[in-house]
Amino acid sequence: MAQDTIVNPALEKVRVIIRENFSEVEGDITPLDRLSADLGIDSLSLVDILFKVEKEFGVAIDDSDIEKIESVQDILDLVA
Amino acid sequence: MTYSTATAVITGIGAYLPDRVIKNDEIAERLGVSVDWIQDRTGIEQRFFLEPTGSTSDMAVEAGRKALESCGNPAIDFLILATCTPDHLFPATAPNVAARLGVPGIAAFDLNAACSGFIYGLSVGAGMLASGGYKTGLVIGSDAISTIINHDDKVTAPIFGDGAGAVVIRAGSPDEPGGLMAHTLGSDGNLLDIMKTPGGASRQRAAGVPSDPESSYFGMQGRLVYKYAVSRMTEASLSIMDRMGWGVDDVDWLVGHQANRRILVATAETIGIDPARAIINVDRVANTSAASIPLALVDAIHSGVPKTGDKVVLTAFGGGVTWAAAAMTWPEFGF
Repeated sequence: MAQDTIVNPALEKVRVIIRENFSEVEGDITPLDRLSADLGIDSLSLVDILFKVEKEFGVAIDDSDIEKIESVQDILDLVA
Repeated sequence: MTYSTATAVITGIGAYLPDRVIKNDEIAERLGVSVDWIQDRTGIEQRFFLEPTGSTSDMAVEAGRKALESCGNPAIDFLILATCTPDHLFPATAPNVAARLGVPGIAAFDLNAACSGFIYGLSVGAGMLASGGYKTGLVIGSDAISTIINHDDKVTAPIFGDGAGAVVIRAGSPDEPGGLMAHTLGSDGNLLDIMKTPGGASRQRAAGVPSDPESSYFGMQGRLVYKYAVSRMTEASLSIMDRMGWGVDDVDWLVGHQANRRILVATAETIGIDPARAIINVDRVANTSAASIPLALVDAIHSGVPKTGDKVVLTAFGGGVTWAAAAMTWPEFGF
Protein backbone atom coordinates (compact mmCIF):
# COMPACT_ATOMS: atom_id res chain seq x y z
CA MET A 1 0.00 0.00 0.00
CA ALA A 2 1.40 3.36 -0.97
CA GLN A 3 2.17 5.72 1.90
CA ASP A 4 -0.23 8.36 0.58
CA THR A 5 -3.22 6.06 0.91
CA ILE A 6 -2.65 5.31 4.59
CA VAL A 7 -4.99 7.40 6.69
CA ASN A 8 -2.95 9.25 9.24
CA PRO A 9 -5.24 11.37 11.42
CA ALA A 10 -2.36 13.29 12.96
CA LEU A 11 -0.97 14.19 9.54
CA GLU A 12 -4.39 15.31 8.38
CA LYS A 13 -4.75 17.60 11.39
CA VAL A 14 -1.25 19.02 10.90
CA ARG A 15 -1.98 19.64 7.22
CA VAL A 16 -5.12 21.60 8.13
CA ILE A 17 -3.25 23.64 10.74
CA ILE A 18 -0.44 24.45 8.29
CA ARG A 19 -2.87 25.56 5.57
CA GLU A 20 -4.90 27.66 8.03
CA ASN A 21 -1.79 29.47 9.24
CA PHE A 22 0.20 29.65 6.03
CA SER A 23 -2.15 29.87 3.08
CA GLU A 24 0.71 30.23 0.59
CA VAL A 25 1.42 26.48 0.76
CA GLU A 26 0.42 24.87 -2.53
CA GLY A 27 0.02 21.20 -3.41
CA ASP A 28 0.20 18.23 -1.10
CA ILE A 29 1.93 18.34 2.26
CA THR A 30 3.93 15.21 3.04
CA PRO A 31 5.80 14.20 6.20
CA LEU A 32 9.11 14.61 4.40
CA ASP A 33 8.45 18.22 3.44
CA ARG A 34 10.83 20.65 5.06
CA LEU A 35 8.83 23.50 6.55
CA SER A 36 11.07 26.32 5.40
CA ALA A 37 12.97 24.95 2.41
CA ASP A 38 10.06 23.09 0.76
CA LEU A 39 6.91 24.79 2.02
CA GLY A 40 8.35 28.30 2.40
CA ILE A 41 7.06 28.72 5.93
CA ASP A 42 8.83 31.54 7.78
CA SER A 43 9.91 31.22 11.41
CA LEU A 44 7.08 33.25 12.92
CA SER A 45 4.41 31.37 10.98
CA LEU A 46 6.01 28.16 12.18
CA VAL A 47 5.61 29.27 15.79
CA ASP A 48 1.96 30.11 15.10
CA ILE A 49 1.56 26.61 13.68
CA LEU A 50 3.20 25.08 16.74
CA PHE A 51 0.86 27.05 19.06
CA LYS A 52 -2.09 25.53 17.19
CA VAL A 53 -0.53 22.06 17.25
CA GLU A 54 -0.13 22.31 21.02
CA LYS A 55 -3.81 23.23 21.39
CA GLU A 56 -5.11 20.68 18.89
CA PHE A 57 -3.13 17.75 20.28
CA GLY A 58 -3.05 18.82 23.94
CA VAL A 59 0.75 18.68 24.10
CA ALA A 60 3.43 21.07 25.30
CA ILE A 61 6.37 21.40 22.92
CA ASP A 62 9.69 21.96 24.70
CA ASP A 63 11.69 25.07 23.84
CA SER A 64 14.62 22.83 22.93
CA ASP A 65 12.44 21.12 20.32
CA ILE A 66 11.03 24.34 18.89
CA GLU A 67 14.40 25.46 17.58
CA LYS A 68 15.11 22.02 16.05
CA ILE A 69 11.92 21.43 14.07
CA GLU A 70 12.65 21.31 10.36
CA SER A 71 10.08 19.02 8.75
CA VAL A 72 6.43 17.99 8.94
CA GLN A 73 7.63 14.66 10.32
CA ASP A 74 9.39 16.48 13.17
CA ILE A 75 6.01 17.90 14.20
CA LEU A 76 4.36 14.48 13.91
CA ASP A 77 7.07 12.98 16.12
CA LEU A 78 6.28 15.53 18.83
CA VAL A 79 2.57 14.71 18.90
CA ALA A 80 2.90 10.93 18.51
CA MET B 1 2.08 47.72 41.72
CA THR B 2 -0.99 49.97 41.64
CA TYR B 3 -0.58 53.65 42.46
CA SER B 4 -3.26 55.07 44.72
CA THR B 5 -1.75 58.42 45.65
CA ALA B 6 1.54 59.79 44.29
CA THR B 7 2.88 58.57 40.98
CA ALA B 8 4.59 59.78 37.81
CA VAL B 9 2.68 62.03 35.44
CA ILE B 10 4.08 62.41 31.94
CA THR B 11 4.26 66.08 31.03
CA GLY B 12 6.73 66.20 28.15
CA ILE B 13 8.01 63.98 25.38
CA GLY B 14 10.71 64.04 22.74
CA ALA B 15 12.25 61.76 20.14
CA TYR B 16 15.37 61.57 18.04
CA LEU B 17 16.16 59.49 14.99
CA PRO B 18 19.53 59.60 13.19
CA ASP B 19 19.70 61.12 9.71
CA ARG B 20 20.80 57.93 7.95
CA VAL B 21 17.70 56.18 6.58
CA ILE B 22 18.24 52.56 5.58
CA LYS B 23 15.55 51.21 3.24
CA ASN B 24 14.85 47.52 2.80
CA ASP B 25 16.49 47.35 -0.63
CA GLU B 26 19.88 48.15 0.91
CA ILE B 27 19.51 45.40 3.53
CA ALA B 28 18.02 42.94 1.03
CA GLU B 29 20.91 43.34 -1.40
CA ARG B 30 23.49 42.65 1.29
CA LEU B 31 21.62 39.60 2.65
CA GLY B 32 20.79 38.21 -0.79
CA VAL B 33 17.05 38.25 -0.12
CA SER B 34 14.15 40.15 -1.67
CA VAL B 35 12.64 43.34 -0.33
CA ASP B 36 9.35 41.45 0.04
CA TRP B 37 11.11 38.81 2.14
CA ILE B 38 11.94 41.47 4.71
CA GLN B 39 8.63 43.29 4.43
CA ASP B 40 6.49 40.15 4.78
CA ARG B 41 8.37 38.77 7.76
CA THR B 42 8.77 41.95 9.75
CA GLY B 43 6.42 44.64 8.52
CA ILE B 44 9.45 46.93 8.49
CA GLU B 45 10.02 49.29 5.54
CA GLN B 46 12.95 51.32 6.82
CA ARG B 47 15.13 51.96 9.81
CA PHE B 48 17.59 54.68 10.93
CA PHE B 49 21.25 53.99 11.66
CA LEU B 50 23.72 56.12 13.55
CA GLU B 51 26.45 57.82 11.62
CA PRO B 52 29.91 56.43 12.48
CA THR B 53 30.54 59.48 14.67
CA GLY B 54 27.31 59.05 16.64
CA SER B 55 26.55 57.29 19.92
CA THR B 56 23.74 56.26 22.24
CA SER B 57 24.41 59.31 24.41
CA ASP B 58 24.18 61.67 21.41
CA MET B 59 20.69 60.38 20.64
CA ALA B 60 19.70 60.43 24.31
CA VAL B 61 20.77 64.06 24.67
CA GLU B 62 18.73 65.12 21.64
CA ALA B 63 15.60 63.24 22.74
CA GLY B 64 15.99 64.49 26.30
CA ARG B 65 16.43 68.09 25.15
CA LYS B 66 13.28 67.90 23.03
CA ALA B 67 11.28 66.35 25.87
CA LEU B 68 12.34 69.10 28.26
CA GLU B 69 11.59 71.82 25.68
CA SER B 70 8.14 70.32 25.06
CA CYS B 71 7.08 71.16 28.63
CA GLY B 72 8.88 74.44 29.24
CA ASN B 73 12.30 73.21 30.37
CA PRO B 74 11.45 72.30 33.96
CA ALA B 75 14.20 71.68 36.50
CA ILE B 76 14.81 67.95 36.87
CA ASP B 77 16.36 66.11 39.79
CA PHE B 78 17.00 62.69 38.26
CA LEU B 79 17.68 61.06 34.90
CA ILE B 80 17.18 57.40 34.07
CA LEU B 81 18.68 56.14 30.82
CA ALA B 82 17.29 52.82 29.63
CA THR B 83 19.78 51.27 27.24
CA CYS B 84 21.53 48.02 26.43
CA THR B 85 24.03 49.74 24.14
CA PRO B 86 25.79 52.21 26.45
CA ASP B 87 28.60 54.36 25.12
CA HIS B 88 31.04 52.38 27.25
CA LEU B 89 31.03 49.18 29.30
CA PHE B 90 32.13 51.46 32.15
CA PRO B 91 31.09 54.01 33.33
CA ALA B 92 27.37 54.48 32.89
CA THR B 93 26.19 56.75 30.07
CA ALA B 94 23.44 58.60 32.00
CA PRO B 95 25.74 60.99 33.94
CA ASN B 96 27.28 62.16 30.68
CA VAL B 97 23.82 62.71 29.20
CA ALA B 98 22.77 64.70 32.26
CA ALA B 99 25.90 66.83 32.09
CA ARG B 100 25.37 67.56 28.40
CA LEU B 101 21.77 68.54 29.14
CA GLY B 102 23.16 71.13 31.53
CA VAL B 103 22.20 69.36 34.76
CA PRO B 104 25.37 67.82 36.18
CA GLY B 105 24.92 66.88 39.82
CA ILE B 106 21.52 65.21 39.59
CA ALA B 107 20.94 61.49 40.19
CA ALA B 108 21.64 59.75 36.88
CA PHE B 109 21.99 56.07 36.14
CA ASP B 110 21.68 53.50 33.37
CA LEU B 111 19.04 50.80 33.48
CA ASN B 112 19.43 47.72 31.30
CA ALA B 113 16.24 45.80 30.75
CA ALA B 114 16.85 45.70 26.98
CA CYS B 115 13.64 46.30 25.03
CA SER B 116 11.59 46.47 28.25
CA GLY B 117 13.86 49.23 29.53
CA PHE B 118 11.56 52.18 28.96
CA ILE B 119 8.68 50.76 31.03
CA TYR B 120 11.16 49.61 33.67
CA GLY B 121 12.61 53.15 33.73
CA LEU B 122 9.19 54.76 33.90
CA SER B 123 8.24 52.48 36.80
CA VAL B 124 11.46 53.12 38.71
CA GLY B 125 11.02 56.84 38.11
CA ALA B 126 7.45 56.66 39.40
CA GLY B 127 8.74 54.98 42.54
CA MET B 128 11.30 57.74 43.07
CA LEU B 129 8.60 60.37 42.67
CA ALA B 130 6.17 58.48 44.92
CA SER B 131 8.85 58.37 47.62
CA GLY B 132 8.59 62.13 47.95
CA GLY B 133 12.34 62.55 47.57
CA TYR B 134 12.19 63.75 43.97
CA LYS B 135 9.92 66.13 42.08
CA THR B 136 10.67 65.84 38.36
CA GLY B 137 12.70 63.44 36.27
CA LEU B 138 13.65 62.49 32.77
CA VAL B 139 13.31 58.92 31.53
CA ILE B 140 15.13 58.24 28.26
CA GLY B 141 15.22 55.10 26.14
CA SER B 142 18.15 55.19 23.74
CA ASP B 143 19.72 52.33 21.84
CA ALA B 144 22.14 51.94 18.96
CA ILE B 145 21.45 48.31 18.13
CA SER B 146 23.07 48.77 14.72
CA THR B 147 26.38 48.75 16.58
CA ILE B 148 25.92 45.21 17.94
CA ILE B 149 24.26 43.37 15.07
CA ASN B 150 26.00 41.35 12.41
CA HIS B 151 24.81 43.08 9.25
CA ASP B 152 25.16 39.80 7.35
CA ASP B 153 22.83 37.90 9.72
CA LYS B 154 19.40 37.34 8.17
CA VAL B 155 17.81 36.84 11.58
CA THR B 156 18.76 40.18 13.10
CA ALA B 157 20.00 42.53 10.37
CA PRO B 158 16.58 43.47 8.94
CA ILE B 159 14.87 44.02 12.27
CA PHE B 160 16.69 46.71 14.17
CA GLY B 161 17.18 50.44 14.00
CA ASP B 162 18.67 53.16 16.19
CA GLY B 163 16.85 55.92 18.02
CA ALA B 164 15.94 57.57 21.28
CA GLY B 165 12.79 58.72 23.02
CA ALA B 166 12.31 60.53 26.29
CA VAL B 167 9.58 61.63 28.66
CA VAL B 168 9.55 64.17 31.45
CA ILE B 169 7.73 62.93 34.53
CA ARG B 170 6.69 64.87 37.60
CA ALA B 171 5.10 63.83 40.87
CA GLY B 172 1.33 63.84 40.61
CA SER B 173 -1.83 61.82 40.94
CA PRO B 174 -2.73 58.64 39.04
CA ASP B 175 -6.06 60.32 38.21
CA GLU B 176 -4.38 63.07 36.17
CA PRO B 177 -4.02 62.67 32.40
CA GLY B 178 -0.64 61.10 31.78
CA GLY B 179 -0.60 59.53 35.23
CA LEU B 180 0.97 56.11 35.62
CA MET B 181 -1.75 54.09 37.34
CA ALA B 182 -0.15 50.65 37.64
CA HIS B 183 2.77 48.64 36.41
CA THR B 184 4.03 45.09 36.43
CA LEU B 185 7.63 44.08 35.80
CA GLY B 186 9.01 40.59 35.32
CA SER B 187 12.04 38.61 34.25
CA ASP B 188 13.23 35.05 33.67
CA GLY B 189 16.96 34.50 33.51
CA ASN B 190 16.41 30.89 32.49
CA LEU B 191 15.82 32.32 29.03
CA LEU B 192 19.09 34.26 28.99
CA ASP B 193 20.31 32.60 25.82
CA ILE B 194 17.40 33.36 23.51
CA MET B 195 18.72 36.92 23.00
CA LYS B 196 22.29 37.65 23.91
CA THR B 197 25.52 39.37 23.02
CA PRO B 198 27.89 36.72 24.37
CA GLY B 199 31.22 38.50 24.45
CA GLY B 200 32.93 41.69 25.44
CA ALA B 201 32.17 41.61 29.16
CA SER B 202 33.29 39.97 32.39
CA ARG B 203 32.26 36.38 31.65
CA GLN B 204 34.39 36.31 28.54
CA ARG B 205 37.25 38.27 30.08
CA ALA B 206 37.36 36.19 33.27
CA ALA B 207 37.89 33.14 31.08
CA GLY B 208 40.81 34.87 29.42
CA VAL B 209 39.14 34.70 26.03
CA PRO B 210 40.12 37.63 23.84
CA SER B 211 37.25 39.70 22.54
CA ASP B 212 36.48 39.02 18.91
CA PRO B 213 33.97 40.54 16.48
CA GLU B 214 31.83 37.40 16.32
CA SER B 215 31.22 37.23 20.07
CA SER B 216 30.29 40.91 20.24
CA TYR B 217 27.34 40.46 17.89
CA PHE B 218 23.81 40.22 19.16
CA GLY B 219 22.27 36.78 18.57
CA MET B 220 18.66 35.75 18.70
CA GLN B 221 16.69 32.50 18.63
CA GLY B 222 13.82 33.94 16.63
CA ARG B 223 11.22 31.23 17.20
CA LEU B 224 11.55 31.34 20.97
CA VAL B 225 11.67 35.13 21.05
CA TYR B 226 8.39 35.24 19.14
CA LYS B 227 6.81 32.65 21.43
CA TYR B 228 7.79 34.37 24.65
CA ALA B 229 7.30 37.93 23.40
CA VAL B 230 3.67 37.26 22.57
CA SER B 231 2.93 35.19 25.68
CA ARG B 232 4.68 37.44 28.20
CA MET B 233 3.34 40.73 26.78
CA THR B 234 -0.14 39.21 26.69
CA GLU B 235 0.04 37.94 30.27
CA ALA B 236 1.50 41.21 31.57
CA SER B 237 -1.14 43.28 29.77
CA LEU B 238 -4.01 41.12 31.01
CA SER B 239 -2.60 41.29 34.53
CA ILE B 240 -2.46 45.07 34.46
CA MET B 241 -5.94 45.33 32.91
CA ASP B 242 -7.34 43.03 35.57
CA ARG B 243 -5.79 45.14 38.27
CA MET B 244 -7.34 48.27 36.75
CA GLY B 245 -10.70 46.61 36.18
CA TRP B 246 -10.36 47.32 32.45
CA GLY B 247 -11.96 44.98 29.93
CA VAL B 248 -10.60 44.68 26.41
CA ASP B 249 -13.13 47.25 25.17
CA ASP B 250 -12.03 49.74 27.81
CA VAL B 251 -8.49 49.97 26.45
CA ASP B 252 -8.29 52.75 23.87
CA TRP B 253 -4.67 52.12 22.85
CA LEU B 254 -2.21 49.29 23.18
CA VAL B 255 1.35 50.55 22.85
CA GLY B 256 3.56 47.49 22.58
CA HIS B 257 7.28 47.24 22.09
CA GLN B 258 7.77 47.68 18.36
CA ALA B 259 9.58 44.40 17.78
CA ASN B 260 7.85 43.29 14.64
CA ARG B 261 4.40 43.99 13.19
CA ARG B 262 3.36 40.38 13.51
CA ILE B 263 4.32 40.22 17.18
CA LEU B 264 2.29 43.36 17.84
CA VAL B 265 -0.77 42.08 15.99
CA ALA B 266 -0.52 38.64 17.57
CA THR B 267 -0.22 40.19 21.03
CA ALA B 268 -3.26 42.41 20.49
CA GLU B 269 -5.29 39.50 19.15
CA THR B 270 -4.26 37.19 21.98
CA ILE B 271 -5.23 39.83 24.55
CA GLY B 272 -8.49 40.33 22.67
CA ILE B 273 -7.87 43.94 21.66
CA ASP B 274 -8.71 45.00 18.11
CA PRO B 275 -5.30 45.32 16.35
CA ALA B 276 -6.58 48.62 14.92
CA ARG B 277 -6.14 49.99 18.44
CA ALA B 278 -2.51 48.84 18.60
CA ILE B 279 -0.20 51.76 17.90
CA ILE B 280 2.30 50.58 15.32
CA ASN B 281 5.21 52.50 13.84
CA VAL B 282 7.65 49.60 13.41
CA ASP B 283 7.24 50.00 9.64
CA ARG B 284 8.91 53.41 9.82
CA VAL B 285 11.56 52.99 12.53
CA ALA B 286 12.04 49.19 12.99
CA ASN B 287 12.85 47.75 16.42
CA THR B 288 14.65 50.45 18.39
CA SER B 289 14.86 48.51 21.66
CA ALA B 290 14.42 50.77 24.69
CA ALA B 291 13.45 53.70 22.47
CA SER B 292 10.56 51.96 20.80
CA ILE B 293 7.68 52.84 23.12
CA PRO B 294 8.41 56.57 23.41
CA LEU B 295 9.00 56.70 19.64
CA ALA B 296 5.61 55.04 19.11
CA LEU B 297 4.00 57.54 21.49
CA VAL B 298 5.50 60.45 19.56
CA ASP B 299 4.27 59.07 16.24
CA ALA B 300 0.82 58.61 17.77
CA ILE B 301 0.86 62.24 18.91
CA HIS B 302 1.70 63.33 15.37
CA SER B 303 -1.22 61.24 14.08
CA GLY B 304 -3.51 63.35 16.25
CA VAL B 305 -5.74 60.37 16.97
CA PRO B 306 -5.31 59.62 20.71
CA LYS B 307 -7.11 62.04 22.99
CA THR B 308 -6.14 63.29 26.42
CA GLY B 309 -7.46 60.86 29.03
CA ASP B 310 -7.67 57.84 26.71
CA LYS B 311 -6.86 54.60 28.50
CA VAL B 312 -3.50 53.20 27.44
CA VAL B 313 -1.71 49.92 28.11
CA LEU B 314 2.03 49.88 27.51
CA THR B 315 3.79 46.54 27.23
CA ALA B 316 7.23 45.28 26.28
CA PHE B 317 9.44 42.21 26.15
CA GLY B 318 13.20 42.12 25.89
CA GLY B 319 16.47 40.37 26.50
CA GLY B 320 17.22 38.95 29.92
CA VAL B 321 14.48 38.02 29.41
CA THR B 322 12.42 40.85 30.80
CA TRP B 323 8.85 41.98 30.33
CA ALA B 324 6.68 44.81 31.56
CA ALA B 325 3.28 46.41 31.28
CA ALA B 326 1.83 49.65 32.57
CA ALA B 327 -1.55 51.35 32.66
CA MET B 328 -1.85 55.06 32.16
CA THR B 329 -4.04 57.68 30.56
CA TRP B 330 -3.03 59.67 27.51
CA PRO B 331 -1.15 62.77 28.68
CA GLU B 332 -2.12 66.38 28.16
CA PHE B 333 0.76 67.85 26.25
CA GLY B 334 1.13 71.60 26.08
CA PHE B 335 2.25 71.69 22.45
